Amino acid sequence: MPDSAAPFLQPGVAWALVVVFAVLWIALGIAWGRRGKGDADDYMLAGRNIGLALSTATLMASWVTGNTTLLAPEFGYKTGLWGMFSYALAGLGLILFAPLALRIKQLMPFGRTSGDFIRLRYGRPAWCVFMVITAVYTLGFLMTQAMGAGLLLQALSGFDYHVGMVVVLGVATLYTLFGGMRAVIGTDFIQSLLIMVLLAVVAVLAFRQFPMPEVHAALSLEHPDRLDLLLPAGLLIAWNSALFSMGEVFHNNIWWSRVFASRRSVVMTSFVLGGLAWMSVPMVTGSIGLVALARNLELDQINMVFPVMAADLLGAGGAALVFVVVFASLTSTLDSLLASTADLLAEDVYFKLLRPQATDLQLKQAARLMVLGLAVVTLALSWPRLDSLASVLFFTGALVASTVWPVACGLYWRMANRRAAIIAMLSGSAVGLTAYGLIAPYCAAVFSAAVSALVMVVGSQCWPERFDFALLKEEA
Amino acid sequence: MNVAVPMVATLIDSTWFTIVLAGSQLALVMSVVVLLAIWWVEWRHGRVW
Repeated sequence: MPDSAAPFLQPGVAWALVVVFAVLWIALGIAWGRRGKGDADDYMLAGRNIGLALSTATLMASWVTGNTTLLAPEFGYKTGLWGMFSYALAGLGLILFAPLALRIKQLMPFGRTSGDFIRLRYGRPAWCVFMVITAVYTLGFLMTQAMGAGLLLQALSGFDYHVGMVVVLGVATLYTLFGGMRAVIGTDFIQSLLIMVLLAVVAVLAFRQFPMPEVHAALSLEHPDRLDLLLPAGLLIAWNSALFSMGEVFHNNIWWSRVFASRRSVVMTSFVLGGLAWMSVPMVTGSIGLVALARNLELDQINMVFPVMAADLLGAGGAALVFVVVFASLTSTLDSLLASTADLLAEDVYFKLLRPQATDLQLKQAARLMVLGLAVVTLALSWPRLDSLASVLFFTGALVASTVWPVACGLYWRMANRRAAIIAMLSGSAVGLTAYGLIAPYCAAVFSAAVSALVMVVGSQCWPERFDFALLKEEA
Repeated sequence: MNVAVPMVATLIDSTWFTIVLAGSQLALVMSVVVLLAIWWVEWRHGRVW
């Protein structure tokens, strides 16, 4: 077994892999970016006609982050079966959003962003609250992915933290900048296949060397709590995971932009299939954590359980597989974050707020500048190395879970009130953050969503609105 | 080392443990197959983009 302080992969091999995949992503991104009409809709939403295969793959690839491949095995190692189940339940966010996605496509055939919906449905004050929540979440998400890139590439291959971060962020920025949403969705398709195939190879080879009944026997003897289906902490984490993921998906423009980019006939199916496909990833990577536990593998850093196991079982080849999976996971999430957040800023702030008279070309240029600006801001914020990334993510869970009910009610319920929506988001966030501090980080989303639901329902029942859904059909 | 199990606990048995783990691996492989099959059909009909 390699020393966990030393890199798993020789830097020369790691650089060769980085160059190969960087050239591939950038070349494909630029080539796909040249398709279509070349207008703002094409750049921001890939022409609004994406089929089922690309739509499903882009949802799945964007949802597989560096955390999915490294934190899920840690969950499996520390919490056992419930750790895997609870991480996998984050796929419910995509599945439960499926009917809402179809409703959005019906109500807003010309829509571009989640901000468009909040502004048209609840007005500008609610839009301001929503934009603050989405800005905090998105910046936190971008930072965790950029920092994760630096930390992971350092641990896997000995890259300097800053070099790893610049390489991953630079590659994702380049092809997103030149190819827009077409580049993001096209590369996501290949990245999702790469991630799933390589993970399946690692898992099958791991269990061939250490069969499942042997893993079960070892765990039953030494760690029976990891096989307990009634683990209280596991049940609570599972609830939080499901609600957190709903908050992330329901509010964030990554997922709304996929709704607007996909064909109407495939939009609902793609969210269901994407969620189901995604759920198998943390289950498989989590099971690798169980094998490590059964083998009593020595770990200096528990979040490195997956690369340690892969290198231990499969040697340098295993380390190379993990490196490619992590590289693909990080770039596929970063490109989606950069593209969809740039769209949100260009459409909602530049076009709808600052320059409503802007031409189509100016809007497209604004979206490009936003991609570049976001990459620079992310790099600057992530430059100082922070070690606790999970706490940043749980912190944002309190904020995003408060948007679940205002979004869902606003799409289906004519009576949903705009003041109730504002108070629901504010009070849900406040209570969620209080629970984060006073009880435990993994309670934040549960409390936030519960309070937000209560305020939204009571407020709308007491002061009902008569909203005309036709108002959402604003021309792009 | 033997670890104490809580009073209220339901431990998964070896058969179900294998079903869960093998099932998730099968689901992962099937996801790849289904995704490629959908892409193939859409590509043949010019409906990918």
